[in-house]
Amino acid sequence: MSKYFRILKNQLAAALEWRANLVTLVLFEIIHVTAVLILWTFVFQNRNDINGMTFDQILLYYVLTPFIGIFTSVNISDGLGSDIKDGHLSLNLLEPYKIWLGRLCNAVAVKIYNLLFIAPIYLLVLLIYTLTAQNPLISLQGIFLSLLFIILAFFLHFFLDLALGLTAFWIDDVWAFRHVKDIFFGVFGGQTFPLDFLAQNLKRIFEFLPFKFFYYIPVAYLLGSRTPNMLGNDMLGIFMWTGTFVFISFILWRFGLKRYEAFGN
Amino acid sequence: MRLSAINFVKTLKKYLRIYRINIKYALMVDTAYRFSFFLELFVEFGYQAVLILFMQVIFSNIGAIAGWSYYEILFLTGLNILSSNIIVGLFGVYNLWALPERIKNGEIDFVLLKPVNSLFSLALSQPYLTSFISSFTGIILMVYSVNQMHLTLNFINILSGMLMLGIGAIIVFCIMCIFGSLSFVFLNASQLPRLPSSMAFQFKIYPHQIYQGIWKFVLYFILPVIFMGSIPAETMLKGMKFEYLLLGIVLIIVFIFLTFKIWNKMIKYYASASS
Repeated sequence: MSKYFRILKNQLAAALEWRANLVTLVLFEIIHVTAVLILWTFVFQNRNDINGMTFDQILLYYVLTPFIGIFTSVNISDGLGSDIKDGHLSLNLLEPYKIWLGRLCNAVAVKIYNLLFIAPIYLLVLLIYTLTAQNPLISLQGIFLSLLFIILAFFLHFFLDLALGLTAFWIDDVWAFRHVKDIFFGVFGGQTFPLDFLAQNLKRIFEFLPFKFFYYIPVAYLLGSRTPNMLGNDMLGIFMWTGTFVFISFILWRFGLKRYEAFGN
Repeated sequence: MRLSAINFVKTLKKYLRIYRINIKYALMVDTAYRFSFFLELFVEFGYQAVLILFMQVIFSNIGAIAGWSYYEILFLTGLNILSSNIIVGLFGVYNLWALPERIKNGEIDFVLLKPVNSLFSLALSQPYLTSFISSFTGIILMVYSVNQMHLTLNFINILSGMLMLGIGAIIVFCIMCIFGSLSFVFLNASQLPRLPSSMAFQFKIYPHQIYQGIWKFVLYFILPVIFMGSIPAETMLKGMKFEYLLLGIVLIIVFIFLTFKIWNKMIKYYASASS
């Protein structure tokens, strides 16, 4: 266990070493929140709701989406793909730990880093909102259910990304998957617009896919637009998708390793 | 006076020749790895689809905003795709966005030894061709929206709009250079040169009339990224406003001056690295 803790600590130290990047990341988030605030404040100057969503709901949705993304996003496929392609994986294979667990520790370290430095901006916005709003939309139950899905979505995303990274045993251009993933999250995950804005039959298709778990579902539970009686179905869905990607990762690793020829390095 | 004009033309010719060679080289590299090239195109089209879908879903629910009708917003989205590709293709991917990595690896040494201006070499000389190809989606969207509005665009308005877009591109390039030059001071700040482009992508997609109070001042005078968005779009649709042209020209002069000053100061911090 201590070796995995050491990996986590090293990754955290590496992330903290480049402080200018940290400041830039914080600025990126401030820019995003500002643009959202400006647009929706203007839009709601002469209306009360859009498609049934009030100003508070829309604003919270667009502030909470990147906030939740801080915890549910994982990007290991790029690094893992490059390691496989360039032969750096050979070094990892010689080290006395499971590669997937090592990558999981790295991903958790990035989460801790984000939690320490980026999450406070959003927490501040939420705090101001809770203190100033007459009827705050966020309840304790919502926070608990959302937190549950955020943790589960992190693991789902990890295994999805692991599977994508492991395709590098066969494919050279794994870098593209990160962008394809972003595009899919933007549309199917509710990152770009609330899925409630869609027509019912289109929403049903989106509901079937795993992408909703990364943004839409945690936000929906937090805002109370999804009730606890939907919990069973959502839990079943997220476990089913996680199991699928664990299985795919296992198969890809098993067969990929047999193909691995340790080029370069 | 005449001699300096001749020298200017000579220098311009030299840089245009270098740029032409670089375009040729980029074309050779891209066509050599065809699968990667098509994958890049697919990714670009994917991001454009997300933007179009976002504007479509949001503005079909909102209707008009700040005096802009739904199809005018669609026209603005098309222009935004075009201008974003200018940012990514001309100034971004292989130029300013790659600067921190090149500084970290000590690759700037070779650039500084060449008899070419460092700002040109590091910020402008390597085009990313995929962006030029994918910018056609923006043009198609603009033509579609104009057709839907049953408008016939005035030729002078189109030219004026392109002029404003050009002014906006120079301003955004200058802002990107100013931020990018800070990479010489803050080592491995890989995200730093992306900050102004991210700002441009976030703020130029909406009509400039929605910015009020302090934001109006910031986005008109301090970080005028709206000159690459709704100002040229409005010019193409409704004609040139003299005050925007005047402001644009003043901003170009100020930003070019600042860019050269800051770039030349920051590059002195470069300490080389590696071997």
